[in-house]
Amino acid sequence: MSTPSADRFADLKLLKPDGTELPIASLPRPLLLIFLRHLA
Amino acid sequence: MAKHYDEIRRLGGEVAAVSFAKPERVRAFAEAHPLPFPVFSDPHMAGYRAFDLGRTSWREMLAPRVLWRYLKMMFRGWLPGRVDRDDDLLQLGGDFVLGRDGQLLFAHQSSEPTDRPPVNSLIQAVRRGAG
Repeated sequence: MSTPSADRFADLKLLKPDGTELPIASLPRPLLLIFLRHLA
Repeated sequence: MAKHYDEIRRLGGEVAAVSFAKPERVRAFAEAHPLPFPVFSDPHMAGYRAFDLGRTSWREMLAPRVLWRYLKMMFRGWLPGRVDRDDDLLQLGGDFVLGRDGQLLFAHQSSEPTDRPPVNSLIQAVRRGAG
């Protein structure tokens, strides 16, 4: 696995549970971002 | 992670979880299992790709050491959730800490389904980012 460079995720947008977009850049820092395998 | 959330907040950090489930499933999950931090949806997996998260194989999923770790997690109270038709059972997860100016302070891409980084290393990275 490679270490991703910051420019690859700087413009990333996630969806809130209501379906609206949220730019990852708008989240507070330092930020622990956990990518889940499954909801449980 | 929920039990370490207060410590991360005390350090000035924040936590966000990302699932590839659709927003409506994330909303239902969050209502049924309230977490102290937000859970977001990434149904097209753009984030999973941006962070170079890999996929495992059925052979790896069913490897005795992986099944044994799942069994231990279940003994500790974890139960697998419902599998949805859209779920990608082979997608792997990962943990990342982003600093204030966008730099990546910590990166852990899971090498197999139960591979997670030590919580202490995550907290140390948050502490570095807050300092």
